[in-house]
Amino acid sequence: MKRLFAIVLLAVAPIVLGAQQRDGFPHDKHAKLFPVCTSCHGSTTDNGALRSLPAPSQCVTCHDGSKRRRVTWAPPESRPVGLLAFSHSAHDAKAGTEANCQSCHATATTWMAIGKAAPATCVGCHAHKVPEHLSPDAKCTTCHRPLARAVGMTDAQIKALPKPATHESSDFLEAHGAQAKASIATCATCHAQQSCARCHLDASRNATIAALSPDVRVARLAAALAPNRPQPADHKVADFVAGVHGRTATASTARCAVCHTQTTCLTCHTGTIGRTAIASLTPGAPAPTATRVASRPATDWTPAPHSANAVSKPIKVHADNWSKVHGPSAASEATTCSGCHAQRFCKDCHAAERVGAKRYHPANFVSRHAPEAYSAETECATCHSVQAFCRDCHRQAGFAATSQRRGTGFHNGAAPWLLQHGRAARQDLTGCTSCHQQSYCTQCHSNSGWSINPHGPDFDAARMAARNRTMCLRCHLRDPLAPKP
Amino acid sequence: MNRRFALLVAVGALATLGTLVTPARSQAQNVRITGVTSMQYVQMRPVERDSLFSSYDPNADEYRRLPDGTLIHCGSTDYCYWYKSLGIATAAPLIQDLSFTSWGMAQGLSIHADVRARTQLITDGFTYPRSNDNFDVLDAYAEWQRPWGRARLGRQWVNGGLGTYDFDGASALVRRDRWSYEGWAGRALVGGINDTHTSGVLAAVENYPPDQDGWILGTRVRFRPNLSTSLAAMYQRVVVNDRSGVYSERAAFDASTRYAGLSLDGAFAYDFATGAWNEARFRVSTTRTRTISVSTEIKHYVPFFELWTIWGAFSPVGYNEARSTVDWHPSGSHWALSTHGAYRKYEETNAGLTLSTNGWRAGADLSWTGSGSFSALGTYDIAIGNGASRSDASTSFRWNRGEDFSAGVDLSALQTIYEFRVGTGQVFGVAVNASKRLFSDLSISGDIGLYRHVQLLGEPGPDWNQKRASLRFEWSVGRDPGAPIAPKAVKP
Repeated sequence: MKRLFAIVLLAVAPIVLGAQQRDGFPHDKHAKLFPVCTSCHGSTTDNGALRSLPAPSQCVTCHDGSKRRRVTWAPPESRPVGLLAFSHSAHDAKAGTEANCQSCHATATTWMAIGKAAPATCVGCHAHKVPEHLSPDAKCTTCHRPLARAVGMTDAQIKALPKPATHESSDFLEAHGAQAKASIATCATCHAQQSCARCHLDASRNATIAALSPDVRVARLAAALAPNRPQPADHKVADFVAGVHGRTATASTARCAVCHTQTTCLTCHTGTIGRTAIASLTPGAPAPTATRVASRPATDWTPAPHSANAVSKPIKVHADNWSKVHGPSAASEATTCSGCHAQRFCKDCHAAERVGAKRYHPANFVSRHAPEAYSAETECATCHSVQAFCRDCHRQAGFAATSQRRGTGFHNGAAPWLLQHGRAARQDLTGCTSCHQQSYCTQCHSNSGWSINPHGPDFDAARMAARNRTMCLRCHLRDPLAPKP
Repeated sequence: MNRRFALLVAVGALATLGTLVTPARSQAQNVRITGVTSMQYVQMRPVERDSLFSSYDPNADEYRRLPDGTLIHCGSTDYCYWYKSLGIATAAPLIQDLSFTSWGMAQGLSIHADVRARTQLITDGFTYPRSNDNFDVLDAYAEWQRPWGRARLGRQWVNGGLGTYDFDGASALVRRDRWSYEGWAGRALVGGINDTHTSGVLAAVENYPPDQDGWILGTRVRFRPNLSTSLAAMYQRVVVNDRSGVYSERAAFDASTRYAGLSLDGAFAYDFATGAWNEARFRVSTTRTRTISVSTEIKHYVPFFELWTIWGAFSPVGYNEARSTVDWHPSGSHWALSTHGAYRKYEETNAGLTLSTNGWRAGADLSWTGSGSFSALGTYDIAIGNGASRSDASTSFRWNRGEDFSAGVDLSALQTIYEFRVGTGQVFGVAVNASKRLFSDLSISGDIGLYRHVQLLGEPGPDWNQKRASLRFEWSVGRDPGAPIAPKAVKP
């Protein structure tokens, strides 16, 4: 008898609760009328969390319009399928004599003071014994069905689902992947594929995410939210893009794939470097910026190529002043230039002459180039022929040499330049050649001229002559190293 | 405008037109053409030597001044000489670059070509350097690229610790684990000219031009012991055609590594003909510091000259320099500051009277990047040294509208001091620039600037007032070999 009573209570309780919440059935006013729950909730229909409700005729027994005011009430045809996957019959079998309807639904000690069964009541009995409903180790599937199957829930109800405190922790984003992989069923209680796809660009390729079911309600809700892709800590080091990201990407391409598609990489990687890893990412839309890398200006900044993906601010690919210090790194392939740049990219500077927004020199460089040239800050001859470019311009500008050796000319006329020029020439001979032809100097420094020796004290004639003896004969009428007769 | 140039311009125009009118490109295309059309408007104020009889003031010194203060030189002849400004000379060079890339013939096989055409739209007293050389093939080669290596055949160039060398020939690169071996050989081209030693280009500007072509032969080994470290050694010689000697014989060594948050780079270039280290550079810089980055470099430099010139025999000396930069760029801040300084000391020349034997530079850049589309940059640099010195300040403001449009204005003021010829003058400039991407494969940019040159203390001197402008179109047709293939449209 007690068992039956318990069963009845268990069956009736949710019915009563539901009635209270939906139509406000005043259980307390009927407390003296119904000594047992089964007076109205006579049986259990176990299709999920359902319960039996009284027939309308049972109410009319009293509420006939004469004894009591008439009420018109009809039980719903079916209850929307919610998130709760409670089985009364299963609980009936296990409850034994210890449980009754009030075990879960009583809100006070008085009869018929009932309410919705609190999750705390559930977790207090079940094996996992978690301290609270939304504990990180709660086994949601014990009481809940996956959200995608809770077809009765509205968008608003889904939006109002409580957020576990663990989701708010600072390291949750980094850790949630492993947690999801370990127990995706737990995630499925509140999430669908679109929950993940909001941030995960690799959702279609991620097996864990694919294990979730799609849901149009979640899709609608996710569409209204911005992706949440905070910059990982290792991305914030100064040379992450130029120096580190390759290793990181190779070690864990899957990690990159969360926030990046192939588009991100192909914006810079126009060559063959990293193609295997890149191919494993989700193919994004064809990158319009990729076509521009080959002739990207020789600046130190990459102009916001990643805005289509996770990063919306410019990424500093190379260090400051990179254009002037990249030589050793490029020559030794420390940074594999071809991984990002087509070869013609180098020509933009090294083949010179081009002008416009992508030029190497700043505006009005002609007025300011002299100190750079003298100090070889950037060596002009790397790109320009000193004879064909510099000298041609200097000649037309009136700076190139004339036959006069003692004129004010380009040189400082305030002192006897002829006596100074040796030091000046040795300190910056390239500067001399930008105006003077060789014959200008051989007027004095040759056997056919004044035979003034231009060689320095450490000049190794044999070393040079061994490599080009013809050059010696530009100035010497006879081979100076030939054995004397 | 010769026929070849006209043809090139026509191809460029047609390709541009094709880009504009073609709504969508075929996915099956396996050729890509990129064109860059750049035009300049340049004003120059050439100087000219003037003279008068030295007898106008027989008691004066060798160096005198005219009544307006102009410095003149009266030597042993009957004349005194000085330089005066001529009228404004104008040039408007037009450069058309075309880059072709074709692939798809066989796995790993591609063909590349970069050609350049030049002409001058306006010639008024000034011919822009090299604009008379109407057509250049910068490179044109076939490449076979495989995971184990690469081979190239045709006009190409090799870049490394010795600079850039162009040549007509072949090169091959083989990769083995952490090693790569590269070799190249062919007919050498003169740097910056893209033509042979005997092509006539040098003969037109040099009265002792080389009388034989050169043949280049080089090899390079690279080793990468780990992901953070790389080493490269390179040897190259340019042999005179009759093998009587070499135009150059050099070697280079480059190394780069990262350790404990530091980046260490070294570069060395050695000239066997003079026994001089043309470059020895060692640089240490921080790589991981988020707020402050520091870089320090020591450098030894001696200019290099090929042996078809006599310059190497004049015993050029180099300098030793120490330089350092400190960059402050706090994370999340709109501001960044970069400072740099350098000091160099020339080696003993054993020649001539005392001139400046050292030099130094210092400067700072302060930039501001707004959260929106605006940015600003202010710079100041001072360089004091042998030959020329300068004090230079500039301010730039830039506005970006997405990635497709930007506009800016640059204000500049520079002072040339101690310079041999131009003297102590100041140049004030204002320039505006704009860049617009009209389509994904077509962009245009341009700038125009006005520069006013004034002498200090009201002294007379050359007038370098000038206007400058440039316009650049960049376009491309065809598919980028580096871009993924877009999925074909699915009909509903």
